[in-house]
Parts: sequence; C-alpha cells; structure tokens
Amino acid sequence: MIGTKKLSTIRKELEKALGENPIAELDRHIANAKRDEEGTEIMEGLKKFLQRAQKSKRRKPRIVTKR
Amino acid sequence: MAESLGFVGNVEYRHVYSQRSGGAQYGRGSTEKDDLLIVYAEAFERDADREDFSLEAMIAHERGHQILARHPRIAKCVTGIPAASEEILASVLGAILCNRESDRLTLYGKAVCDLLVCGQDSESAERQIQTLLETLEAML
Repeated sequence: MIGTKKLSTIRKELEKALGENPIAELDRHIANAKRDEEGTEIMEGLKKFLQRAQKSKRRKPRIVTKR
Repeated sequence: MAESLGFVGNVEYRHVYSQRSGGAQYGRGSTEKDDLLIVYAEAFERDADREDFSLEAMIAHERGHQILARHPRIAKCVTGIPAASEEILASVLGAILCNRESDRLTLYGKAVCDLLVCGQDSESAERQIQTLLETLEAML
C-alpha cells in the first residue's frame, strides 16, 4: 500500500531533512557518491523531484486584463 | 495499466474509500493468477491532484509488492522482513517499472522518505536506496 501520506508532505519532509538549501545539500551528496564511485541515480532523482516542485510553485497564473 | 506494468491476476475497482491503503492494495492469492489488485476511489482523486501520486505510480507500487511475493529470486530474499521494509522495496521496484520519469522520481522520494522516518540521515538513506535499486535491477 502506498499509504495516505501526500506527495507534497513527502517533499516537505525531504526538504526538512536536507536542511536550509536542499538542492545544494543534494549536490554535496552527489559529489560524495561520485568520489566514492557509487551510483547517483537516487540523489539526482531527488534533486529533479524537488526542483520540479519548486518550479511549479513559482509558476504564477497569467493575469489577463480586459481592455 | 496494471497489465502493462506486469501485474498478473485480477484487478478490481471498489467505489469506496479505503481506510489506509492510500488508493490501491495488493492481495496475495493461492497462485499468482489468483492475486488481486484492488483500486479504491481515492486513487483517482490523488491522480487528479498535481501534488500527489499518479495512478500509475500507485499501481506500480502494488506490482512491486507482487514481485516481492512472487519473483523466484527476490521472494526468497525478503521472507520475513518487516512491513516497513517491504514498503520501501515495493516503492523501489515500482520506480523501476514506471514508464514516466515523473512517476519514478515520486517513488524514489517515497522510498527515501520512508527510510528517514526510520531514523536514517538523508545521505545514508539515499545511498541505501541506491544500493537497493541496483540490487533489484540486477535481480529482475
């Protein structure tokens, strides 16, 4: 069962665990993993996941004025 | 959709809200052909919400549970594991099966988050999920 926790809640919990600058922290994790010659698919996936959520938050609806 | 993700067995829709499944639930039958995937009403509400899991991600997660129960190699390795661990593995397996990158990413996020709840720090959780991903991909 995937459970009742919303994806937005999961994203917030991940951001909280990663600290003030989640993307920079993930970049640090990716660099550490590459240095250790380990795979980075999960870390890079999390980075995209959080970045996409940030982009969709910034997208504001276009306001059309009637003339 | 379930068939395209490799699910074997019966798929039923129940026009009710489940208590805690989150939208879908796998039921193990006496044989694989008797296995059951139940999809509940909230699955479609969640699918329509941009801030929540898609239907495909939910079904892929349940197919992950079927693989844990039925795959000849994987099932042997996971006998007796705690339910929380099984949920993490189902998310990783579901991610492997998803066609869309966006669905894969959501299931990665869920798997890592579930490890964070167990007390892991984020970097350790990410590395453990990475190891699980590579191991399960090799076994499939």
